[in-house]
Amino acid sequence: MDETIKPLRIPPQMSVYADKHKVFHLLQVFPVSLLVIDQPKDPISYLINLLQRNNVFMLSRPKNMKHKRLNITFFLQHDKMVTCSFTLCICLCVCIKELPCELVVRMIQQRLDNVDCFKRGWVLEGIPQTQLQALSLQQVGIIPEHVVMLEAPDDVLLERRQGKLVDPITGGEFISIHSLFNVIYVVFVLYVRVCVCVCVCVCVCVCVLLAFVRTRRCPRTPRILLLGPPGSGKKHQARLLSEKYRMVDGTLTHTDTHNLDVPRSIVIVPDSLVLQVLEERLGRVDCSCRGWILHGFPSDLQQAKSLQESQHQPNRVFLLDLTDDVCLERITLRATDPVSGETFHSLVRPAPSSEVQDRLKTRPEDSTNTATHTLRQYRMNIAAIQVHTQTQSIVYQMFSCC
Amino acid sequence: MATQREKDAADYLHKHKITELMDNLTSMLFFHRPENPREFLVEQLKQLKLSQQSGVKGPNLFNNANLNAIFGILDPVGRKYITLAQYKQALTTLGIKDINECPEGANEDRISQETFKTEAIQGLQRCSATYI
Repeated sequence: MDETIKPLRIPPQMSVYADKHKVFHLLQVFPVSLLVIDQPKDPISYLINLLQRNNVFMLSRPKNMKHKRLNITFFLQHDKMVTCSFTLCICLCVCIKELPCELVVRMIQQRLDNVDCFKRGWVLEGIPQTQLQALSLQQVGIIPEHVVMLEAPDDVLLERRQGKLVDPITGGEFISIHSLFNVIYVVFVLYVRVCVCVCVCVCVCVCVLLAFVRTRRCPRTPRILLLGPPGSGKKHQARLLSEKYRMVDGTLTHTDTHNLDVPRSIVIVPDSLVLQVLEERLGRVDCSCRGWILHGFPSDLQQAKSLQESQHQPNRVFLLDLTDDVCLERITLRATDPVSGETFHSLVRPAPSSEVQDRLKTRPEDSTNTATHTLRQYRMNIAAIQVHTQTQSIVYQMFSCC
Repeated sequence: MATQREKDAADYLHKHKITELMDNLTSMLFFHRPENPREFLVEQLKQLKLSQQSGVKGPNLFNNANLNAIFGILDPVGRKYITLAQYKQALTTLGIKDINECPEGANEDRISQETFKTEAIQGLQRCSATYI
């Protein structure tokens, strides 16, 4: 059988299916780790039992050990928010620094052996507080999947402490734990991924935490859409992201189809053609394996719907948001130097010399009228697109102020 | 420098052919893409267990029709036999690891369709029999 001429093509339905049913976790992480730990004599029956058990294990069980330097009551507030979306059930807050180590470990083990912990996952916060406790917990077999360290500068901590009226649980000095943290951090970082979160603001912290816990376990081929008004820096961001994460960068504006020899003039390319080119490009092996990032597409609801119906559904959508005047400012003051090919901006990045400045030309679509028109069209379409994509993938909104 | 526990774990995985088992299950899952992956996997595992106990043919991605099709590709003219090199290449492409180097007809370099199919089926059985 000679090597067939047709290149290898991994059907994109497979990535979509994998994401949807969390195949990676189901097949690789979850049973294999348990098999290696238990090492049963008959792995097939063991696996059958495992898979037939209750469905709760599908989601990655969040097991956090939080090394906290904040007030515990503050954290309990977070926990309520987390509990709604996550079904975490445990928040052990015990002042355990003074208790002997074995007693602590035994208490924790007892609590964690309950069925509800096993099913829903647990969050241990404030534990361990000494290196000895950390090591004993590991020896017993209580190993977290995620470790989160919440940090805050000392003055903020002191401020927060003074603000609270009663703190019956942790009287204690926070400052003296300072030196121990580095040690515990080192112990854990060998085993699990640690997320260090600088806690400036409560909601930011929780969002970061949730994102961290949800996505750490499974590798993900990114399929990203970058949407935003003209002038928001989509192309730039896409280029940076694709360089950093080795994704494939898709430049697709209404006037640009690089496969066909359409000159870069204001020619409106029909949607069907665009979709065809897109499907062909995204169906290739490098896109299936490395992931892709598209910017400037879809630009209206029809395109968004066609994209969802095709096999290349995105799993992340980023909406860059800017006020209109900032957009216009960015676009209309752009100019290109035809000799060197570099773009300059009157405010942010002015041309280096006056002769360069004389040469500068603006693109016809950057003129104020065209830009305003494009912006208005964008605003009309974006609400519909947003509603549509929100049901299918995770949407993040970013507001830029400058 | 692997610790003793790591070595034990690696030995266990190798002895019970867990990696091959997982590979097979993953390919089945991706090929069929069932709505309920857990049940599907449980089905496949039960079939595998049955084949382990009673020697019945285990679950596999390729069936007789596929093998006929492959033979047809290798032999477009319709001579009803293929060369040894073709046979080996075909079995490697199917993913079979220990190929029988001397099947019937190897001396004359004419492997018939039946020999090809028998060898292929046996090889595929060995691949999917991921148990001791």
